[in-house]
Amino acid sequence: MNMTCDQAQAMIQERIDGQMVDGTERNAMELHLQSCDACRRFQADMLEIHEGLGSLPELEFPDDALEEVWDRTVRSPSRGASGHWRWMAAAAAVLMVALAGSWFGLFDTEPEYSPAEVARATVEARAALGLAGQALQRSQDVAMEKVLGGQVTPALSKITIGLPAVQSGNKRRTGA
Amino acid sequence: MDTDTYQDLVVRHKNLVHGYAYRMLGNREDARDVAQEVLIRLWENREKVIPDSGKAWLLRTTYRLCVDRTRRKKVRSEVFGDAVLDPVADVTPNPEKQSAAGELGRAIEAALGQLRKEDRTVVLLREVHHTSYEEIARILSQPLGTVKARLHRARIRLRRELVEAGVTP
Repeated sequence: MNMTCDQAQAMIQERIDGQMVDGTERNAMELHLQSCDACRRFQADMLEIHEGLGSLPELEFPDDALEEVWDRTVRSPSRGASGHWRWMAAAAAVLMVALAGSWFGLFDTEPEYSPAEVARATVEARAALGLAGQALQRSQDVAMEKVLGGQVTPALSKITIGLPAVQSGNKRRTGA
Repeated sequence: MDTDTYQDLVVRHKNLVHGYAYRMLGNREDARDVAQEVLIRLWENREKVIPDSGKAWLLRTTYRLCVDRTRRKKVRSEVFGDAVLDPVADVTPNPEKQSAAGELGRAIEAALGQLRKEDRTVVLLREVHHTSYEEIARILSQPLGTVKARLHRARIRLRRELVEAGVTP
């Protein structure tokens, strides 16, 4: 079996990567190497590059960067909840406050609020609505990421209306 | 994955994530940001990630974040030339390791920077981080044959870069 330089060089690389090379092919490669200076040089260079890459210095992750990671993970006060659930909890809390406010408002027949109190309540209500909006948006984003990431099968793909029904073998036999 | 397992994975692989990000991006600040984000994402996904495949998950996530960042910030590969060699040496705390890398190591580092991003990533994953062909294929979402072909081509380009730089391996 005659081997070209391209074939021999591909095999040299596979051997460097520890891949099993078939005995017949290995013999053909050795034969080729005996008669080809260029491939012998290629093999020597590849081995040296392989060793050089393997001994590149390790890059230390800075200590202060690691501390920041710990602060934002294992040392974080909200570490028990994942990001998704934190946003859901925040949304639920805002909703509860809003509902409580409107509930008490029903029984407040004669409200006596100063203009300043009304103004402050308006600002707070706007802030609460803003937070609720952000939380909702965030939840939608997370849900969309999960759908796009294939973690969740969208309900749409389960809809089979209009598609031909798949009949089982038994049914076909019964029908005939 | 419990807290102890998470911390163990981070301590074991933080330098790998940081080094891979640095050699992909060629920028120390970006590499630090990406590495932090990867390690934080591991925490956020701790219930899904299997500890045994933690290293693969970290490399896959680092690769994706590096690609995103390169796209977003248009980090130009040209800056990954000689200019980054000194910072690499700066952040290497172990002088013994640094000198062991030697002149060939420096030349290889510079030649790596001249490779295209796709070529550089396969060489880094295989040669520096000792990732199997199959795992590289999963990380890059490419067929096994493509990965092998790309790796072979990338090594040949690396050799050519070294020869052009006057370094005969």
